[in-house]
Amino acid sequence: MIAFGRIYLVVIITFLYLPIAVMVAMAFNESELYTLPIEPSLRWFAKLAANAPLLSASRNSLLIAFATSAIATALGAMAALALERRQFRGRTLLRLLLLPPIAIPWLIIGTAMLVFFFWTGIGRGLHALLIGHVALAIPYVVLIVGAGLQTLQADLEEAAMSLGSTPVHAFFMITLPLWLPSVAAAALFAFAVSLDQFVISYFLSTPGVSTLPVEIYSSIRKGFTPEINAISTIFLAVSSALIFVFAQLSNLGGKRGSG
Amino acid sequence: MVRVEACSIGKLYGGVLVLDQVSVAFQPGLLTSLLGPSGSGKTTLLRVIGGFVAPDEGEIRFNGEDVTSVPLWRRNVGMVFQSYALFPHMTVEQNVVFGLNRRGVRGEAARKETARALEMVRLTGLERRRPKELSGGQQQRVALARAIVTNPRVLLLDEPLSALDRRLRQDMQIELRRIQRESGLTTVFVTHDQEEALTLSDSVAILDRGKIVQEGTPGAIYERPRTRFAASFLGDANFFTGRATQGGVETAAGLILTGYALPPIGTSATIAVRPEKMKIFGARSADFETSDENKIQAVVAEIVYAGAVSTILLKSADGGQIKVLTQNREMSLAAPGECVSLAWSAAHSVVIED
Repeated sequence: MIAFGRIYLVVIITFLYLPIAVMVAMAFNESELYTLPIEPSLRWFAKLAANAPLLSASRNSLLIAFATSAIATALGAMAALALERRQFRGRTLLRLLLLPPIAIPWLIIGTAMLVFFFWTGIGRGLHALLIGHVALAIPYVVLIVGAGLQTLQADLEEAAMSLGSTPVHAFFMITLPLWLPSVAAAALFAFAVSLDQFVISYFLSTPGVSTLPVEIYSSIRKGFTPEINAISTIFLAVSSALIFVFAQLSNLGGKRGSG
Repeated sequence: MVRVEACSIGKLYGGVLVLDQVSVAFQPGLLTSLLGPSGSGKTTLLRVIGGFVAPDEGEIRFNGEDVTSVPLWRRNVGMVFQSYALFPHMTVEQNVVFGLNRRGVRGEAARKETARALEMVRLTGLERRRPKELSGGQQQRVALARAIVTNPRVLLLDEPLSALDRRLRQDMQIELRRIQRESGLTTVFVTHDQEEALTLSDSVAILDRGKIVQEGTPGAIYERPRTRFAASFLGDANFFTGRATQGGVETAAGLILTGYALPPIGTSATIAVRPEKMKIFGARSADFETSDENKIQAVVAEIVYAGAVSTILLKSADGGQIKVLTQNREMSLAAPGECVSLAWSAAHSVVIED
């Protein structure tokens, strides 16, 4: 059984990481045609530096991802606080309404957004991309930080208040520090949702202004170049670094809790 | 020391009257238990006193001063929560010093007060631990130290022992009593456990459906319950209902004499008798001579042996169940199926409101 489990694990890891490994290897390969053996070269990175549309799209992607992460986390955290800690009319309904956007196909959401944005005069472009991504990321944020809030006892704040803390002081001294790991996780998730997004971005970008996934898609349609391997490798490095930082952070949170 | 009063407190939760004109006084430096079943409003009353919830009507007074509108963070109460609510990201010391810092006590003075409180709850040496590294009993002590370190005007305890196992709970009862006496704090203790209320309290207030049913010392309530609810919630009781006559009640089990005042002759009346007040005389028993006024016949149904004592369940002539608690000083006098006599003094036939 253990041997079988090991094989299973190796197969999964292989299928997950082998394509990525091939892509990274080819980004550093001199040949354009995936020929082996690999001749180490930074040629494609140099070519990438001259590819203005790909670079501009990368910039847009990062900008939107960071902005989406910040805005969606702030709004989502506030929404989660209200949903978890306040009693108000329509609370249950609101909580239920958060879930469908996660399950509705992006193609449908994208179409709906496009129609709506034209109808309201918001149109397409960077701002439309940002609004779309924030709207998309908020349900995930609310779910993640809401779950984090549920594990915090509500009477901790009451205890702090009985000891002389004002509600604001109690929130910042007690709730926020304990809540931070799940807020950070939500921010990372929102960042990933935005960076990953293709369908909605495709609908909302204009020929001049697009994001990296959209730009890669149009480049591939014109003909594949290893520059895409290069930019993907850079993004892979960035997101791996982010995940690593987050893992460190949440690990620290765990240590803080247990010892 | 602070005298705490709740004056005609009323509280509605979602259309349900949780507290109905509750008035009760908590004497300075004494421990008063709020005893009642779940849903009786005892925890709500505690939370109203502390300022965790605002009452819909009535006043809370500390030494005569109306504090109803003073917010929780300025009311200076010490609260021990059922879940302890210790701050998990802080050490024991940081937990205890939190309230001192909030009240402007810092530095050396705060350190000294914290050490004193931790010593009082016997946790010296565990200052640097996190709550998760402590046992349930230790967490409970931290919660207590944190609540008393600021010398609050009133100490509020919300079923603080219910999460501990039986053995630890008994030890903590004794500890809690010692700490409460040493600190001299006016204390309100919420519990649904009658045994806890009896052992811990200077005074008990029994709540039922948002109303105070009876208040007094544990002994006074036990010996002289006023209602059927008070009689059965604090301790056990046998009830006999019938028609009031001169000096007694005519019941299906026979005439039961009482030393207590009765309602008008001919009206319905109920008598409560504590199980340990009744004596059992078996058919073979030699000393059937007794000065007790009340004697009835009953058949032994079951004997529940519990070491030092036995509970004997009997059926009276009219089929009613009677419970008698006897000390197992000698070999059992009765056996199931045996017809016996029960005797008790008229002074132990307490007339109650049904």
